[in-house]
Amino acid sequence: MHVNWSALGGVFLVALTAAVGMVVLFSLGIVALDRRSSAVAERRPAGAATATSALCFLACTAVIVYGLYLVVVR
Amino acid sequence: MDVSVIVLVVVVTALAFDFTNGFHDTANAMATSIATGALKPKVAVGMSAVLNLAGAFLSIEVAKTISSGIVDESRISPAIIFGGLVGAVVWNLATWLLGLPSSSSHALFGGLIGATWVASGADAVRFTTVVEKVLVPAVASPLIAGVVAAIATYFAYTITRRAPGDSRTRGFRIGQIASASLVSLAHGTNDAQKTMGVITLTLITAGSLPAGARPPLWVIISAGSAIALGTYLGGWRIIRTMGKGITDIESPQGFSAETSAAAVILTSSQLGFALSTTHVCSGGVIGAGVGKRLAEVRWGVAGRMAVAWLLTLPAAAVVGALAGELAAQGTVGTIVVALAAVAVAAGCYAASRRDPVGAHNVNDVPAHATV
Repeated sequence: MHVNWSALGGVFLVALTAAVGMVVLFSLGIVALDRRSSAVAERRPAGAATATSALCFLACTAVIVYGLYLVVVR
Repeated sequence: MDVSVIVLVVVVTALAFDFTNGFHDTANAMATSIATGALKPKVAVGMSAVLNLAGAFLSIEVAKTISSGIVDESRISPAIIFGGLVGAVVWNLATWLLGLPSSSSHALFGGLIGATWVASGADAVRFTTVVEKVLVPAVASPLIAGVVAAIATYFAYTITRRAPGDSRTRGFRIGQIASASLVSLAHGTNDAQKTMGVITLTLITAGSLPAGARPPLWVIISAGSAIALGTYLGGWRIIRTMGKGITDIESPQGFSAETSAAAVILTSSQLGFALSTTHVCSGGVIGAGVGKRLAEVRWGVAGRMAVAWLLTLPAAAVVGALAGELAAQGTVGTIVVALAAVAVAAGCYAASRRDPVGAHNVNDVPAHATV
């Protein structure tokens, strides 16, 4: 019997990094988006918050596109 | 017996299996999106069906073996494949009736093992491969997905704890749509392709196609349509168990569970360690329950699911063995098995009508889950 333990460990580490990274980025994006809307409501400058949320969601989109690429090209 | 009759029967049964496969696995991608209200039930199953169909056409590599080496394929006949498919379909219907998610590939493997064992002897079954390709992944998949989802859920709640509840809920709901779609597409490329492999290899064995042929267009279209139709009709009973039965899921948990499932499924197919979609997705939901502080995970439901996973292979094997043995007797035996399978399907459907679950009540917590 041959169980490929190193591949299994690899799956765990890569999936952990990808999923947690994705969720952290998305959460940061939501927090930044929320900061942005309260800044806009209070007529404070919202540039930094806007940029942060845009950056986070852009990164999430990139990860999803890479996931799509893996599904299609495999 | 006339070869073409059994081949025709195998093709029809394979498509029926593909249908139950889609039916069973809608929950994997869509249960948490439906539970959190990210998508309306009908929209969710419709989207999942389209993505499964797209996945069926996208898959470049079609399965080259029926059983992934679990049985000696030089010693299987169309009757054995038929028996195996019947075992898998019957088990899929029984677990659907009970609302339990279970792996369609394990059901198919079980059916093939049973039918092969009876027809060609125990030595035609490669038990070490069974341990390597079925048992180890069955234990590893929910553990890996569960741990990943628990950690992801913890971060999702910790990072967004200052954000007001409604903007958090709305944000994660949008994210859920993307992650659920990815799971659906990955499912279509994996599972529709499995049925195409079974049909194509049967046609090759029967001499209707040259060895090493690619699946004909009608096989791709019919397999893709069968899985998409099954997905669209939606195994609502299983969706309810996964979305509401295991834990009361909120959108940050749903997003974490689906993202973790997508990540685990994609990396496992990339790194060549095949994991079952069903086990990964169920593990992800349980992990999302564990990762939120004070969230209640109904371990009774999770335990029943684990029992169903353990039983999947042997139960499908017993049905597969009986069906394969009868079908090998000739045309009459094959017809008897086919009629019996139709009767079981009708019986399961009739039993399901006594306590119907559909788009209208999929988000009610099942009564037995609260006990």
